[in-house]
Amino acid sequence: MEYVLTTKDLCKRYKDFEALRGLTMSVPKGAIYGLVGRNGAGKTTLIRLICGLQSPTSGTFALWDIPGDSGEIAAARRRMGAVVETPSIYQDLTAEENLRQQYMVLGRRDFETISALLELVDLAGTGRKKVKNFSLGMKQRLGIAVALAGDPDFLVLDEPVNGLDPQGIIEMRRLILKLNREKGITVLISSHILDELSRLATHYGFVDKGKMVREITAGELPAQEHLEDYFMDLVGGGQHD
Amino acid sequence: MTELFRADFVRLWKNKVFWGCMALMAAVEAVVVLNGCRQARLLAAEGYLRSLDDYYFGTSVLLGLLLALTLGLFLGTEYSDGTLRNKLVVGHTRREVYLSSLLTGFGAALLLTLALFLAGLVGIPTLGLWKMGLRGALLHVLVILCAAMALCALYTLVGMLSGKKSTTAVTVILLFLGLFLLSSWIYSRLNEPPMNSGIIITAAGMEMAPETPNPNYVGGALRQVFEALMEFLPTGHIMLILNGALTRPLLNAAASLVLTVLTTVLGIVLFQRKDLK
Repeated sequence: MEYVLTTKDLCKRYKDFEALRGLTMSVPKGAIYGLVGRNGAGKTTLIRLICGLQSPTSGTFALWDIPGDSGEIAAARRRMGAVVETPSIYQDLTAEENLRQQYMVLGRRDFETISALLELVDLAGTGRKKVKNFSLGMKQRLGIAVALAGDPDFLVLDEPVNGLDPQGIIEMRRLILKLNREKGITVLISSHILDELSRLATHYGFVDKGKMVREITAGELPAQEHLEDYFMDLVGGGQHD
Repeated sequence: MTELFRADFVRLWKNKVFWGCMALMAAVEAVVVLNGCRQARLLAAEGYLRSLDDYYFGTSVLLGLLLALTLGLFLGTEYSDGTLRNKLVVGHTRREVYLSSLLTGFGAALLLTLALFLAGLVGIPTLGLWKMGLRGALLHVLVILCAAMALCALYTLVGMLSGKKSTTAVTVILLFLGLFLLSSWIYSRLNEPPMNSGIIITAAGMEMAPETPNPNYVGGALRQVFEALMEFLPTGHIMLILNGALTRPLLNAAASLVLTVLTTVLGIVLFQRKDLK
């Protein structure tokens, strides 16, 4: 099986706090991989490491078998897109200007494709409206559009439905499924909303206290058991409803 | 890196604060020079001659301050809007991101210097060309530009490490003001005479008295240190220009470039180690 992302014994320490304690995981190509864990489990720290925002204290990771500390990782990252915590967008620019900026960062000059990207995320009619006047859902969708600007094969989404209304959540789900099924993009998605994740993910990784507790496929989830119950049984500390 | 620089420069070009600073720079320079023309006409009637040199570079202090405001907010936005992440996620290295920000700052410095230079030309019809000659004027502009680039390097160091837009903006402005006040103080100390005048005023009128050593006079090794700082600090160069005391422009320009390189190397090393959120 081909893996887009693998990590081995990944550790990250901040002064007195150990956010990751030997996390090992694998994200298969073509999967929608749901990263599940409590607040402070290490999900965002993991995402920051694989996105190059921080360096691991120890351990390794690889993107398409290219080690994270190798000189070729830059080329591997060109095939990635990410939305880490909050959408990374210029508040004083319009949606189109934001995408033009990212196109320039990527060295792309085919600006005529921006309109299709805006249509994909349902932001085609925003015109000259500045991002600071967007709703949260619009900002989230623009963040994903920016992440898609490089035609990535691997998309990393950290809590993409946080703060969205039900309609926004449904639209986000449809977009992610479309990207995965029609464009073959592998997606790593971390979320607290387990019910929503259970409608999306093909694989799950359960993270607790900086370690990967278990990785399963969606098919391996016991038929009668909800993802929530499975998670609580795995990490302990809760009662079933 | 050219892709990054292009993206950053286009964003600077669209930045309202930058264009506001450009307009202010040009306006203040033009007003100062035109006021100088008016003053020169009045003084000429009383037999005192003034030239374009006396007024042309008076606003170089403002250039340092406007650059701090522009870059403080420009660099701070990358953190506050989180867009620094977009560059790193797609594979640009920390060094490329840092250098691109620095080069964009140089672009802002060049354009602000150009605004100063072009706006000041309004004085030529009244005061004629510079007494120092075109070569002298261009050397002064070179020193100002190199000083601005050195300040850019300092502002970029702060901006890329700071992490908060408001902190960046306030810190770089205070940094400039602090350096300028330091340079101003050093310059005034260097200009203290070694002896105090022997003239005293009494009820009977002016009388001669022995000269006394000036306690504010800086001598010896400390004087050498102060002189070196004036020649090295970019705000020291601005101070020399404001007082018409620039005697070694090429040395001053080189000193600014050395400071630029040292600050940039330090900044890149620290930025590469910084954990970003």
